[in-house]
Amino acid sequence: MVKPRTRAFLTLAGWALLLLLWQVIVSLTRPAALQRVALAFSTPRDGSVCVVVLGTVGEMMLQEPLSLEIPAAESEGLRLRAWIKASQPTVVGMPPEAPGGDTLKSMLQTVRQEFGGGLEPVEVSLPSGTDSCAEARRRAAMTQSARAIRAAWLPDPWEASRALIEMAANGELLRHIVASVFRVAAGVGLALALGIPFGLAFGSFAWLSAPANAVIQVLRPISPIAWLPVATLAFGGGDLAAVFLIFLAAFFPVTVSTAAAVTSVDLKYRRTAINFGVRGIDLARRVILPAALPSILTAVRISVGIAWVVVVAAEMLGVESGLGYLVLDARNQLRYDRVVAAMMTIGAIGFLIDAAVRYVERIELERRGLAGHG
Amino acid sequence: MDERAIRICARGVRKSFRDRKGEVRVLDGIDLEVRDGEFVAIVGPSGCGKTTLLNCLAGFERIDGGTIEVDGEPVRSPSPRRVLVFQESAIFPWLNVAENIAFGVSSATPPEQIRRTVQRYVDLVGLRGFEHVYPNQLSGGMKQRVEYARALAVEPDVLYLDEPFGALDALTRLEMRREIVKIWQQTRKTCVLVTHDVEEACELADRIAVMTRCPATFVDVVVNPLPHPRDPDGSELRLLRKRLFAALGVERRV
Repeated sequence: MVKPRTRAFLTLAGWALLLLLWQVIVSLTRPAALQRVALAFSTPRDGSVCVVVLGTVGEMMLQEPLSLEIPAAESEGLRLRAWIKASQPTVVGMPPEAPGGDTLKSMLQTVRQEFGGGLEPVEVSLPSGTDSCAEARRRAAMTQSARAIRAAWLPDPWEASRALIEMAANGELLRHIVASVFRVAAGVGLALALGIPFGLAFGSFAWLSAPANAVIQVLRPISPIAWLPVATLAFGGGDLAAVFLIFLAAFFPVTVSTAAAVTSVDLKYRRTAINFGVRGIDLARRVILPAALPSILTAVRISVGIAWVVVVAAEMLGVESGLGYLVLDARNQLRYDRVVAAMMTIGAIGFLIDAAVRYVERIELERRGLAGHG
Repeated sequence: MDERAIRICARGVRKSFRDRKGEVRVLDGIDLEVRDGEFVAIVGPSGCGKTTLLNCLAGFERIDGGTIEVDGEPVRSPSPRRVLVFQESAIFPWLNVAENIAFGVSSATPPEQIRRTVQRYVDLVGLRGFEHVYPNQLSGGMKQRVEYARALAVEPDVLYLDEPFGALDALTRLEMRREIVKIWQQTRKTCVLVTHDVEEACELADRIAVMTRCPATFVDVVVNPLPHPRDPDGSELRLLRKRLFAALGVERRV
């Protein structure tokens, strides 16, 4: 036996471990940031600059001096154009204002117009050293890291939490939670309202149990999701179809467990009741149902768990609310942080529902001195 | 000669069960008469059909031959007029003591009267103060008291007791024997007790029928007229026990 306080602590420790594992997996698998091809100039000195182009993995593609003297400007402009055409840089590291800088800018401007843009200029200041080309190389490298593209990847716990808080703050999350919980409550409620009386009947009358089992055991293996097309056709694409799927997911386990619980009610309880003249509906209400209640509650807990799994899948088609819809919608927007935030919400609510049903179950069992598990 | 009316009258009762090997005859021509207010014990070795006989007398099992009549009417099904108290505790764990005792009382009874009936039997079995306690918090002996109170609350004519002390520890067993005698003296219900414990039968019953092994018949019926409370070590009971052990085929020096 573990003390409740220790138990709570260990639960939190489990969750912390999960977050840690998540963080580790995401950071280990995250692809390296993508470098862009960068061209950079050194600060003009004595009417010339050094031009450097670094490739996507930082390799040197080009290093040439370029004259900014007026007579040579036109031919030098053509040289620059040829380099740019050959190496296809997408960012340009510019030196801060200096004499000759204007010539540099206008030469670049000419090439940009010809290529239709794409050469994004970034001003990077560096202390100018004696070696112009060393300066240009450093400027190119800094331009690359400043404009690196981070590839889309799985969000880590922080990114997902930010998305979660954002959706919680604007009320979007609550709307989806309410929609999903409503569908589960309606579907499971319907399943209990029909499944418990059905189970009582199947368990009580031997001649009913064989045909009932025959029907249930061939319907039960059909995943509720497989019913989706039929449900959509029959009920249209709205809430009703989703509720129907939840109902299917919960109805069979509840019926089967109730019937099994009824058949295993201790003979001495039945005989005692009959001895006191309690029969029929009274027997079911006063003896069979309370005796079977612990097993029925377990079945309810399992059914609600299944229902919560099914509702998310059911909401991926035909409805425009609910946590399942949220997952799909966020994916379509390529907002993986929201996808994962929705997944976190699904897990948390599932946990809370299970805890709530377990609590009811334990109260009922404790009263009979049967508490033990959980 | 006993002047009291005959409550239970069984004649030539036969009962067989079917199993894989064929038919097993359990009861083979049982005759038994129990008079109003009498305490009769049926002793016999384990598995000899004592419980089957009791189930037949209570109407839970159909008999294959012979007749069983209670107050001149053939027994066909269980009735609140004849309550069977089971070997293991059969009080309902989902009801508290008062609710258990009220279980068999007709729901047409006015609530005030139900309350009074419950209180009367709670007092009789000495459970005052435990009315709202659930069975899981009761000891084995207390559960048994609830069982008697629940049986008595429907005012039955006959109480059938099926090895009622079987599941109790030795001390509680002695205590519950006294309790039964006390209840019986206060209510004067007709009681039929089934047991394999000869001492228990001697201490409680007016008359003791000895049953043989399967298929069962009665080999001896011993009258035990001693007044209560009885001294289990008295010479009369010693002689009685000796005779019963002899009838059961277990010679024993006492």
